[in-house]
This record gives sequence, C-alpha cells and structure tokens, in this order.
Amino acid sequence: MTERDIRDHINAFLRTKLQTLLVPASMGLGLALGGCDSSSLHSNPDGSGNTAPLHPGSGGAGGAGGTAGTTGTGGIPYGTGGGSGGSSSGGSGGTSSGGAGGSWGVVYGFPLSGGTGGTAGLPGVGGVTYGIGGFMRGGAGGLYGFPPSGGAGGTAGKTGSSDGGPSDASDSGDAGDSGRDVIGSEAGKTSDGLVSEAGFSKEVFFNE
Amino acid sequence: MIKVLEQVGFFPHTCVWELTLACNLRCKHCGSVAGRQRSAELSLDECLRVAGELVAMGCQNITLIGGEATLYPGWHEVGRRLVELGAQVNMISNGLTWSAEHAERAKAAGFCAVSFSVDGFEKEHDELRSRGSFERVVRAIDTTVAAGLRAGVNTTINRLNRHQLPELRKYLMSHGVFGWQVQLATPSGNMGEHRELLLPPEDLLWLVPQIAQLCRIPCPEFEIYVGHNIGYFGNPEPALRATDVALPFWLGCRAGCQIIGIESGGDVKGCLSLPSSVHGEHRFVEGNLKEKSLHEIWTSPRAFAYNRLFKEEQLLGFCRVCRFRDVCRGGCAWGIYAQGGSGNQDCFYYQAVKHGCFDLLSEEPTAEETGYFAGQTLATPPCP
Repeated sequence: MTERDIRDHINAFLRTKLQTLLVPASMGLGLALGGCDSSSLHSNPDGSGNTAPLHPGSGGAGGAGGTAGTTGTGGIPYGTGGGSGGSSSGGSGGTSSGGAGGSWGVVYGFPLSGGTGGTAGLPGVGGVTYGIGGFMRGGAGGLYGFPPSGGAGGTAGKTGSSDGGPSDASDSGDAGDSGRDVIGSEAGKTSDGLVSEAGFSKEVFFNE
Repeated sequence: MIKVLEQVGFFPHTCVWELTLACNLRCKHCGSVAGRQRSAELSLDECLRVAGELVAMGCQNITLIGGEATLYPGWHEVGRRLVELGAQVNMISNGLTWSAEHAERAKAAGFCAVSFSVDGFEKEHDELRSRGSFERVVRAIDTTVAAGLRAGVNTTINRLNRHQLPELRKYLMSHGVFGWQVQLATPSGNMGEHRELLLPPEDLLWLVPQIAQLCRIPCPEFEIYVGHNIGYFGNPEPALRATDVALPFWLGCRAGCQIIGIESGGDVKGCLSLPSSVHGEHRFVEGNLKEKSLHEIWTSPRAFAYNRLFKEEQLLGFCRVCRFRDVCRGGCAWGIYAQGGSGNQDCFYYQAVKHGCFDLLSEEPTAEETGYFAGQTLATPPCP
C-alpha cells in the first residue's frame, strides 16, 4: 500500500465520518430549535414517544427519565436520553436515563459502543429541554464492523431547581439496549483486531 | 493522523488494568519492574467502583494483568463485575501457580480467555523468567484448555527467542492455544538493565516479513495478534493488520485516545506500558483514581496531550522526515520514549530505508528520507 493509497483511505474515512457527525447533530438541533413537540424528541425504538413529555407551562414536575434507547427500526436515528422536564416557572428538572445506542450505526458503521449515559436533560427555564443520551455510541455494528455492545448506564439526570437551574444529580441512568449487528456485520465478524498491550480484544473500526 | 482518532471519538475502548504489581517472578525483561506490590493498591471496593466507571465510559475490552494478577485476592470478582456490566474480560498470567481452581474461577466469572506468557522454548523462557517456569506455564495452558476456557499466549520477542517463532507457533497450536500475541522487547524497566537481550533492530528486516508470513497462514482456530510496537508500513504491513476494515494500516499510537491503562495504585495512563513512578517518570500519569473519577481524568482538557494534541514537532530523528509521520506519529509511544531521542529504530520502514532494502517497501523512499542517512556507514544488510 503506497502513501497515496493510505491518504486516499484516510480522506474517504474522514469525509464519511464528517457526514455521520453533522447530519444527526444538525437534526437534533433543528428539532429543538424548531419547537417540535416532545414526541419527536423522545422517541422510542418503535417510533412512539417515550415517557418524558415536555410540560411547558407553569409548575409541574419535569418528565421522568426516559428509558431511551434505540437500535430500533422505526425510531429516530439516535437515542435520545430521557426526557427532562422543566416548566416555565421552573419545575423540577427531569431525571435522565442514559440513552441507548443509536441506530445510525446501521447505516454508517459509526463506532458505536453502547450508549453512554445521557447527560441529563437540561433543566430549563421555559421547559424546552431534552437529554441526549448515548448520542454517539451504541447501536449496531456498522460498515466498519464495530462490535456492538450494550449501552452503558446513564450518568444521572439533574434535578432542576425551582428556577430551572441544575442542581443535584439524581438517578443513574438505565443500561442501554444491546446493539445488534445489522449490516456491516461481515466486517464486524471478520475484522482483525488486535490486541493492544494484552489480551485478545477484537479491533474495531480500523485496525492495528 | 490524530484527526482520524478524534473523529472516531476519544473514549477508552480498551483497557489494560494492572490489579497488583506483586509478582512471584522477577523476569529480566519485565517493563513494569514487577515484584513487590505498590504501596497503596486499590482495594476491592475501589476496583469495583472503577469497573463501573470504566464500562460506563464505553470500555468494552479489559485485560487484567499484574505483576501476577492472581496474587490480587479479588481478581475474579473484579472480572466478574466487568463481565456483568457487559465488558469482555481477559487476563494475563505467568502461569507459575495457575491451577484448575484458577481456571474454574475465571470461567465462572465469565472471562473470555486467559493468556499466558511464553517467551520461547524451555531454555530461553527459563533464562528470562526462572528455572522450571516453562514447564509450569505449559501445564497452566493445558489446565486452562482442559477446563474449557480459551488459552492464549503472549510472547515478547528478544535476542534469545527471535529464531523460534515458526516452531513456537506449531508448539502452541499443539497445546490448543487459540491466539498468540507477539510484541517486541523494549528497553524499559528491567529490560533497560539487560539490553544485551534486545533484538538487534536490523533483524526487523527479516523478522517482520517472517511474522507477516506466519499471519498469512490460514488457520481459523489460531490467530496471531501483532503488538502495537511491530511494524510499520512496507510490504509486510497488510498481513500484520486487518484488510477488511476502513483503514487497513497502522494509524499511530492510540494511548489516551481509545486505550487506557490503570495501575494498581490508581494511576491512570494512556497505555499501561508507559513509564510511571516505578521508572521515576510521571509525565504520562494523568491522575489517580483515589483522588478523581475516571471520567474526570479522561476528560481533563490537557490529558494525554502527547497524543491528543500531537504536533509533528514532537517527533525525533528519522521520524521527522518520514513520509508517514503524520499518520504514524512515530509508532508506539512507549517504544519512542524507551529508545530516547533518536526516533523509533524499531520501525520496519526506518530500517528498510536505512539499509537500502527498498524491495521491502511499497514504493521508493523520498529523497528527504534517504538523505537522512546520507554519509552514515550502514551495517551489513541482515539475513534470516
């Protein structure tokens, strides 16, 4: 493999990677800024809304942590974390459980390793909040054959104070769903791996 | 190219975790200088907490090592917790006191495999480790396989065993070993005091192609894993790395990017092999788990700067003019450090250019690369 071949591989990889980062991120942001309803932001794997609706208006406790998760077939492209509440007059911020892995590994083979915990919903003044959990991880092995694994626990939601500000962390998140090997599983199964300093861990998206 | 690793995301995908520095051997090539345990090793409760943090941050593969890992009383409990949390857990042992009971515990805890250190056949292995240790480690392998647990082997290539790899491969296969990791001895720790045991760097010109040849032998039940300090680039490279992935070549050290090392005292490094207090070196220690959470250490803005904030100006010697310098970043960080300021002489590409063995490369070196060695008297090109 010549230097030119290597640089071509790298450039192609970076182009793909940039797309996988920008598209979902801009989608999420667009949804939030566009004032879409809560069901869009808190979808479950089957596409339905989850248990953490927004409650704009006065008072009211924030939504409970969504169980989040995805790797579903009809859900949104990435797992949103548990919803977080919030209200115009400052309810308690919602707890947030960690979002499970997203399903866009199915398409892009993003190195997904199970959703990390949602970083909690943003307890907001005015109540527009959403927790993005497991945003970049989780889900299935994609084109690059990342071995799927379960989502990790969330890192606790933050309970909003009366003015919507964050205060104590509350619960720890739920474990995410296990990812599923969907497409790209060929690579996932056969990719050579290597072991780093020790052990026999299969390597992932690129190789050593 | 650090940008690639950054795009992938910095998360500790793979961890090598030293449970204790206590060891029942005093190997001549031990980079960790294992023997006595560290002064304040993590308690079992602390280890279980760290296990949770590690997996929560995305760690999927964890290898428990020592010292001799079985000397840590709760080794199997730490392993079990990690397995319960969803991680793949391996363990490395010298096999000296490994018994059927150990194998059963590891199996019950859900370990994927146990790997044993075998550094050549009996004479060479015992020379490096201790008399009788070869016999014991082979027995440990047999015991593990008999228990229905996968047994692997790690071999550190050095001057004593450098000609034994093909035969050793056959031998290990005959004992039911499923995987074999080979790595080069590095002049660090005890090996720094036994430099006469190091592989002559020019030997890489026949050794690396030989390893590549062994890797090419189709054998689904026996895989060879090439350590991070072997390579890089040139004709053997595709056989050393996977070819069915997006980036089928060496992409530089991933310490602190997707790899993490935890010392038994709680110090966190990008790679366990990097030097620390035992070596009188602290620059690679990013924090201690008795004082901070793993997440805090991992996400600290300046953490693992030698890799995450890599600049080509960091490179030394030939690496500064190498055409792959931005991709390779000098190779194994441990190796670069251990070799001092002359660049990575354990690099296959370096040796091939130095000795004019261009037929081993995929293309002619650049004028800048060949110019680096202009005027130097080269050793006789090596042969197997």
